[in-house]
Amino acid sequence: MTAASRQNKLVLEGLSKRYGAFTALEPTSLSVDDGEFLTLLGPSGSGKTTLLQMISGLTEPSEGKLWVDGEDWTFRPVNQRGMGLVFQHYALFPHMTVAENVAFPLQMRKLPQAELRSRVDETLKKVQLDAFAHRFPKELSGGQQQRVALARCFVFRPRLILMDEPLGALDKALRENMQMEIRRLHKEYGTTVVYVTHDQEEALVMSDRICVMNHAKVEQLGAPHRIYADPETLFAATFIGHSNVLTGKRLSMDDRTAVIRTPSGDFRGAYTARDRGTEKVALIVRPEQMRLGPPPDGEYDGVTGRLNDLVYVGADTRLLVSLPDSTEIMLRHDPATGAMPAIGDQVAVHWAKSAARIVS
Amino acid sequence: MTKDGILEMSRRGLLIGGAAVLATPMLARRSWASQSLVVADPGGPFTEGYRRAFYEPFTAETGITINGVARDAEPTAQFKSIVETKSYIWDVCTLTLSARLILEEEDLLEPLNLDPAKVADVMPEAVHPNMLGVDVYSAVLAYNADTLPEAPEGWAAMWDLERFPGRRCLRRNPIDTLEIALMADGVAPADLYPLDVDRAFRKLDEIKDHIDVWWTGGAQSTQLLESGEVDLIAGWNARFQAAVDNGAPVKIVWNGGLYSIEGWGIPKGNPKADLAREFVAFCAQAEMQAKYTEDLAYGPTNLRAYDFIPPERAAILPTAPQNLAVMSLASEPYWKEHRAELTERFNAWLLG
Amino acid sequence: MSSAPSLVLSRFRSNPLWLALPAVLLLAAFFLFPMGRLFLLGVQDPQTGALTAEHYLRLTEAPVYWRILGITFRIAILTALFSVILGYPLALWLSRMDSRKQSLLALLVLLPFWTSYLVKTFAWMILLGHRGVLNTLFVEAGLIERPLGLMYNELGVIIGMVHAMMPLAVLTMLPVMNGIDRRLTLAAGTMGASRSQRFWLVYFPLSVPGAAAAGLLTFITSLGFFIVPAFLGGSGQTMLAQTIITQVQELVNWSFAAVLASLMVVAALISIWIYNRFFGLSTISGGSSSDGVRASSGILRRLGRRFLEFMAWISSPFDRFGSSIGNDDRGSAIYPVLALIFLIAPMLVVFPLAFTSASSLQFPPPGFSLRWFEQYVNSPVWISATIRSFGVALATAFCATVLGGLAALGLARSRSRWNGPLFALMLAPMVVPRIVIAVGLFYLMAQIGLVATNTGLVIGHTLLAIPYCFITIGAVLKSYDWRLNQAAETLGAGRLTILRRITLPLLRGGVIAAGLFAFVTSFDELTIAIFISGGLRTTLPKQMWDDMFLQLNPTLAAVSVVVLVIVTAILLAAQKLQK
Repeated sequence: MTAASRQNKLVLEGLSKRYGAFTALEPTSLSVDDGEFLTLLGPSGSGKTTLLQMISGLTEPSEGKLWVDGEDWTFRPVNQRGMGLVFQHYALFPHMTVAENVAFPLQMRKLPQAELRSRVDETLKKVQLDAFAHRFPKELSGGQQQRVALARCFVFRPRLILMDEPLGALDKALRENMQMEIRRLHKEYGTTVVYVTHDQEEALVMSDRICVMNHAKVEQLGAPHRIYADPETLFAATFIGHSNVLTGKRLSMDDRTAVIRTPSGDFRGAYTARDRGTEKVALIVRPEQMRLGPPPDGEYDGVTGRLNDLVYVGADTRLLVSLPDSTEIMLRHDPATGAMPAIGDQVAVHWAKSAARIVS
Repeated sequence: MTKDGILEMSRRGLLIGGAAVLATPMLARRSWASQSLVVADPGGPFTEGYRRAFYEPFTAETGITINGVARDAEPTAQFKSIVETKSYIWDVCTLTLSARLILEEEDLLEPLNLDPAKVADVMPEAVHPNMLGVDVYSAVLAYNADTLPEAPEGWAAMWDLERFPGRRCLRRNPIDTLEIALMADGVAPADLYPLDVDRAFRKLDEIKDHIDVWWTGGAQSTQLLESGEVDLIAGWNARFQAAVDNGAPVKIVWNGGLYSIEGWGIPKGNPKADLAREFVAFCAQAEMQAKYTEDLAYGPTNLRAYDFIPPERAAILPTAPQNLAVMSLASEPYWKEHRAELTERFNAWLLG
Repeated sequence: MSSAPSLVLSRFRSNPLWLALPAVLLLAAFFLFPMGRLFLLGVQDPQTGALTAEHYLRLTEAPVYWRILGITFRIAILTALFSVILGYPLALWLSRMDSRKQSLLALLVLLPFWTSYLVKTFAWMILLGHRGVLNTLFVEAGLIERPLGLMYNELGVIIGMVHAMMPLAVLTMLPVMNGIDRRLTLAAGTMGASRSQRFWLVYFPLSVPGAAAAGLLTFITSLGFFIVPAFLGGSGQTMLAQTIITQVQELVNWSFAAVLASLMVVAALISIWIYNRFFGLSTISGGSSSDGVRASSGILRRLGRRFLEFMAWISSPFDRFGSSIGNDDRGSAIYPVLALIFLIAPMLVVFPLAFTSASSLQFPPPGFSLRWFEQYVNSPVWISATIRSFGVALATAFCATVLGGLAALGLARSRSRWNGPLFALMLAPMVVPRIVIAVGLFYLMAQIGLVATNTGLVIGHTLLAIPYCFITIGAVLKSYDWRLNQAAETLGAGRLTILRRITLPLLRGGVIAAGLFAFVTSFDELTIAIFISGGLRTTLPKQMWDDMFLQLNPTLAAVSVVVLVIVTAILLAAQKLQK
């Protein structure tokens, strides 16, 4: 790692965590820019929370280093890191009022009374809880409690905020509301945020970059649209957005493209696989890239199968087609662009070779 | 009661005793064979001693089964309930002289109707219309012979810190303790009652700060002496004898001892009162009483019992003539009247 | 179903308080009634039965009883204070373990609880004496020149009583501490709180309801002590229970005993009232700590906060000795181990004594022998007492768990205005000193022929055990999710089925704990046994008591060891069951 890259806000160098024989996180390196919103996305057990806890200092890494603003923080005590942490379960102190909860981090920093009070008032106003300052947490609704937790975090202007599935316990409408709230606060304070979630939609909505994690390691790291457009692994492709997957063996490859042999035929696609050594690969085509009908020319590939089901979802209709080897693919069909086939029909499906990706 | 009086009486008891042996056949009526009595004794070693001295011989003689049960240290409350609620869980129960007085006052005791001939040898202090004393215990001074430089001769030793250095222990109770203080102050045993309470407390004031332990339970006094925790202690002779039996270097000073009597009483209204009376009368016999002294260091009330007791054993029993001669009887009537008030004053004094 | 039973059933449905009825009936008949009669004695002329204040007036004439009350308070307060302060770190240490390890170590805390406190008291006499084990050790180690006065003074009483009460304090605090969200201190750490700030500003306030409940329980229980002050105290340590026993047993003055007993009950009630003002009574049975925090505003709250900030400041220099990582769980185990040693110290004396070759309680024993075990096994008195104790304790455990559990269930489901009084009634047997209960109960049972019966013993012990069962099951009910019952109901389960298949299995831990509490309460109970057994139905503690008064020999130690081994086996089995 170069000295220049350490000027990033946060740099991880081969950070890993093992509990005996169990590996919670494989050695991981990544860097976060100042003011960036980075999301760690993955299913439970993927190591994202372990990674977050090592950044926060709640867990000591087994190996590796952690740099913040160019300083080695690997073993810095948790209470001297000055990071803000927002928990899924809020972790509000039940014996303190809302105002006291929000004031707590400021008291730890020995702020003068007057400034403390004005900061608390200001922050509570920002989260629209100024009317609830003297309530106890248990007297608030779930959404309100989460806003207190956010206020308690933002109030001390931490250089780095870590959020561990903070919206996990809220219902959908409230969650979307809060996503916007967090985005707003993030922009307003210009803080660097590392955010953990298992909800890909949430990740896509909020993040500058997404770090997709699986099986204790990073699958892919990049901007949301990059991960969506150019997934590097089958996991990244399927975890974010819907993908049609045809698995097979790599026949050939060059710098940019490769050819895959599947039971339904040989196909060419952009070779984005992270692991370029493996022969077991998969062809990924997003549903919106597929069209009904046979391939019009050599720039397209296609398959045929039986139409299993039609699902009307408002803007378009989804067609479920099963191929002879019983792989299912899904495509979107705009009824305005052509005739609608009937269930049970044999249909042909095609896609542009340039839209196909071959991943490991 | 004077010292001479006791001697007089016991001598007389001994004389008459010879004739009374003839009266022993008692009852041989086998019609009682299926009957039984529940007899409450103090438990522990008593159970064994009484069983051999009284229960088994009585059953052998009459066929009446005896169930010995352990009673409480102070069974008066139970006794009261037994009679008032007419649930006769005990047919006969051992009482102290003080318990007898309390129970008598509340009319909770059945008359024993003892045949004077049968109790002729028994110490007169032990014979009452509603209680027959069967053993004598005594509050005495005991000491650790290894740690004390010389042998004490009486209660004054407890107060003599110079001649008898060592840790001291008294009973946490005004009974006996006040008498001990007065005797140490020079009051003759014959002149003890009514107690000069103020004088007793003044005397106790002198050593209050030097009393290291105030004991409450009998077994505790054994333990205190035996473990070397204290060097001088006032307490009951049988407890100290237990320490001697366990091999502790303990000696007992009989001089100035205060003895008292335990014996049988019957709850008033007991439907088995007749059987119970037979049992009580049976226990007056010298031969029977002599038997328990093999197990217990208590003195038989029937002084003729010493005819059956080896001299070396007699030496450790309160009613052996040489021991009885230097002791006096604690006055239960006095304590009956003043116990509540003196207990209160004693407690206040202890705390003060 | 015919209409009449369904009517009854529907009333059961409408008011769950009916579940408390069996316990209420038992308490009314065998607790309230005899207590009422006893207190009537305090205001009656013993001869005429006319109402009189003369017995109470005696209190004004004799200042000694006020002094004794003062001493009783002082000793009980000190005992409660030290039990909580010394027990707190131990409970904290235990609460940080995983539940398997925790319950194993909690056994060690419980062990002294399972040892008859007659035996414990004697073990302390051997340990603390002038020529006792500790003094001998200290002198030989050259630490001191002359033996220290470790007992026959207030120190001895406090040691003995704290030892007896600490397990109760630890076991009361533990569920509250287990219920504190550990993530809260982590969160405080991320906000910049140091170790001491995390503890004093976040963890400690949350644990206060548990500590307060422990203090209250130990205080009230301590009020009624009489064996420990009698055997370990000096001239200045006379407690109220001792004078009550003197009045009943020696002076047969039940009227004045009733006056003194009422004095004790009033003292207990006042302390409960104070506790209720600050914490709310329901926290006694509460695992949930946040519920216990009263939103007391103003000066008190601010003062409390200042105090905690001060404590955090005081202890901050020690922060660097701990781990730097948020969770405080790497703290030193030295103190908890010392505390455990303190708790099991008497057993360390009793065990060797059980195998002594001497016929006295000489320590250390001069040689090894099994004769005292032989004596125990060959003694029909001891064996029958053992069997009876187990039988009575098992029956008590069953009755008290069922009655107390049903009452807890009823009260947890009800929002009636009767809840408060019923709650107080359920706890009342714990508040009234046992000697008072025993006297009143004996009088009643003698009249209906229950004296010297096993039934009488079981009833008496059930009275004493109901509060513990009620509290224990009430505590687990607090965290019970009642929606599960609704769920089961929608799936077609009836009331009984729900109780059997859903509620009981989920409450199993609490129910077993309650049963164990009841078992041990009965198994170690002496006072009631003294009165109710009538000498005929001797229980183990009663037999030990008789022995202790008359002949101290190592059989007592051997019996303790046997009991301890059997009881430990039962506890371990119960723990297996709990999983």
